[in-house]
Amino acid sequence: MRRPLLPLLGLALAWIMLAASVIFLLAPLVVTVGVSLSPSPVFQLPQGELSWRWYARVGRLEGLLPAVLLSLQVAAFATAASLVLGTLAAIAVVRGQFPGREAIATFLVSPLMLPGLVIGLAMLQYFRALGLREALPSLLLAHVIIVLPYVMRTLVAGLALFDFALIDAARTLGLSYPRAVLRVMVPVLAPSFITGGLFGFLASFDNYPISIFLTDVYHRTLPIQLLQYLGESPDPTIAAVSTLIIALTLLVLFIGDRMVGLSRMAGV
Amino acid sequence: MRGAARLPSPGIGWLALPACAVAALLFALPLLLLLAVSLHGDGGWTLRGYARFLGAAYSWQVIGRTLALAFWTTLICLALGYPAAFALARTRGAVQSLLIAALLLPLSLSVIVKAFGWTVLLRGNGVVNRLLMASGLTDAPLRLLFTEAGLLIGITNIFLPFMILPIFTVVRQIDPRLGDAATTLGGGPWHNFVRVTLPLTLPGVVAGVTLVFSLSIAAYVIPNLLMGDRYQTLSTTIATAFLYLQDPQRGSVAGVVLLALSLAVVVGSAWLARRARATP
Amino acid sequence: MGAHLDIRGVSKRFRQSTVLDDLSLSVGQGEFLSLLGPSGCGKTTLLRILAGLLAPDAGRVTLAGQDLGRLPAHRRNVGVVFQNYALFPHLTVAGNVGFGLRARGVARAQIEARVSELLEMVRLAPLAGRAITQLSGGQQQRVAMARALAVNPALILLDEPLSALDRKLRETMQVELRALLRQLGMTAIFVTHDQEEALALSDRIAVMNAGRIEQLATPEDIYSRPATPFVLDFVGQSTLLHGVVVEAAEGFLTLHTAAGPVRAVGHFARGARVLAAVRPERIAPGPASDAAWTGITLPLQAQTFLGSRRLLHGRLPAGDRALVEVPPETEISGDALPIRWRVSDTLVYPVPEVA
Repeated sequence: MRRPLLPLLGLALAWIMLAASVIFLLAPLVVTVGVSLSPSPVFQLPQGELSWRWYARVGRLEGLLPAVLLSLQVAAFATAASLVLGTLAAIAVVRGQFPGREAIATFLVSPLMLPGLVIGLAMLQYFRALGLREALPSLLLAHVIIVLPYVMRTLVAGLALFDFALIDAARTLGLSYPRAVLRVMVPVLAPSFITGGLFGFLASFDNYPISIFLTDVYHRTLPIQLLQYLGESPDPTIAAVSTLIIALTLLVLFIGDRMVGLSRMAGV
Repeated sequence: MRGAARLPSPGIGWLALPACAVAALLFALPLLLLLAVSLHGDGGWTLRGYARFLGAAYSWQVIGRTLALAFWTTLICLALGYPAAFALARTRGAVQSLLIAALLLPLSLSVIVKAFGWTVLLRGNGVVNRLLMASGLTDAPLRLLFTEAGLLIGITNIFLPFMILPIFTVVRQIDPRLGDAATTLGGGPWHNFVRVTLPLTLPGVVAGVTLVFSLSIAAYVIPNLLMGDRYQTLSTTIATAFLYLQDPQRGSVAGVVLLALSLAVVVGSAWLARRARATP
Repeated sequence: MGAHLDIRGVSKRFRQSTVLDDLSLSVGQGEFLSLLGPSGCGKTTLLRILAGLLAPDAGRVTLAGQDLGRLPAHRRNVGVVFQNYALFPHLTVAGNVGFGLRARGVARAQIEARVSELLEMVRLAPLAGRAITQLSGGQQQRVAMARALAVNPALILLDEPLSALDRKLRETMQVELRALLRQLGMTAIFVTHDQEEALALSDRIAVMNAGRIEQLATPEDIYSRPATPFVLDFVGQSTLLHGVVVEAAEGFLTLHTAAGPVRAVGHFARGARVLAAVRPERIAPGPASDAAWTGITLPLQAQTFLGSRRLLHGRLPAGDRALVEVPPETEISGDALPIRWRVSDTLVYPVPEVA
């Protein structure tokens, strides 16, 4: 068969664009890792010799550890709360027969589509009006709104394909309703829980525009602490911290791949 | 009504109540309060905040700049991402997994880390300039950081995966025989693309464009880091008004304007998505 | 001996509609009983009430002398084979079959022994480690059976278990299923809307309509002595003739119908409006020769060749129809055919007066 020229050209273009995209996307990451391993105190790629000196300094960065712990704590709480709230709401939306189900689904996913900065600003004024000035509870509450849409979106998609007769089957085989949900629905929907949970967790862990309004001097989340380091004294220690974050993100994706498969996660 | 699956389960709708209550209390009410603050001033309801903000030529410059930035970002992402998604859909197995990982990693990575990478890449004695000079394309360092070109590079970099992935998920579901069918019907390659492939991938394009555009108009960290304080978009205006000027009304007004733009994008894309599905 | 399963006065309503209406039914130990009816007749609802997945609004269910009352599904010891099998996709074949035993906390060694025993029984032993998605429809059906039987239930409920299979496989599986349940002496309730399946498998059939049992009888009686026009219409085909009783004496009736006079056995008053019906294989070509026979002249409309037999369709006035089954080699010509059947084969039903 004679292959027409135009599709061939198109295909070549597509491959070039894909290669360019991947290089372009990974460039800042590669540079960050490179700078972190270079002995030079100015930002440049290592020339021959590698050094771990900037990693040794990471531990001495003021406020880093509390920021990491705070971010982990907030993300873990928000993800746990969202998984519970999101699962219940997703069941209601998929299984219920009441009017306005679609509207509820849209409402619960909408924080994802609206500017985080505006949401953060609105929350700040709201919490102040309610007299809530503590940073920690504000952050915990606000991050539920960050994570919930991720969980909601993947669970609605997962539940739409879930056969609820499986729960009936487990009940007739000797499991009470709650145990049937736990032993059948949870494992069958595990990919949705994991995907929604992981992306939600990362979204909370990385969130800047909402957190910026709710933190105080004693409660800085990691992104806010990082941005401050950038503004203060940019030296390659930041590159080392960034590389550690890249490694953490890689680890999370690796877990996701083992448990769900990347190509399913790409559908998010 | 067939079998067990469709028997009514009364009361199951109440399971949505906790999530709805949380979202109403922590999300809807704050936004309503924001609207109220933007309409409140001098001890009463007033549109003065809007008049003040929208009456200033500077504000329109900011709005125009925000929209232009989002427009160019979306266009570049589409031009890169649409063909890239096609190539990605043609890969198989481990290669595809690796490439998807290469998209998901930057997507899941903190924007601040990526922004930091770009400040290193773009600075006067940074990697890009060294490469340019070493290759002999330029003999003096180009100014990239704190320019709109640099900003566009950085912001495109952040949002490109959000364009590729939705298009990819649509493209990989297209039956490859459709192209053959169109060819046997006498369609040329260009004709095939316009009449068969493009309409089929349109839902993915709409999803990608919506995501990238609405994320771009709200972007804050990247403009702030790559351009500094003097380059004002709607997002930086909100932050400045609130965090430095202590002017909640101005910040709220700018916030409502940005919110309205986002809602317009979301509603408009929902309408477009419905059209894309309905068109044969 | 009392009934193994006894259902007394069970009712269920969903919002405005009554799905089960004061329904009673007894099933003997080891009996295979089918619930046959169109969709929406309440058969699946009854099944779910027996399984404990749905609570009845009224009525009582006892199984092996125990009042099931509000006993939840997981304490009933009732096995269910679901319509699309509802096999657990995250477990292997063996994992599915052993599920009920694990739920009951049976020791691991015992579970393994019981699972291999059952897989042997349904001839799936080599597939024990397979994922559910790797099985064919027939294999999935057998896993579902083995899973339901593994816990040695007091009663097994089958919800259209064969409807997802193609015709040929379905017939093989029918034979297999019946033999397996008989071998185990298992009491079974089989829900179906397929009358042929119900006729082929059941000890007794309960034909259901609008939440009630129209007739409960053996397959032979259901077919040849349908109690109501609904059963007549739902199970098998027939010639239908509307008419009026013009003579009634000593248990014999003469009806006036649009196709001519027809005789029947029964007790109706003169002038009563009735529906007369005859099963197609009871009819033969030829004029009614003596008093034991009755017949009409059939205006032929069409004939359909079905391989093992030939069906003749008659053209009759509105609401009436005629169907005659003849051997396939029968040559029919002309456009009218005298047909006859035994007087005792005429089924007569009262027609409610239209006010």
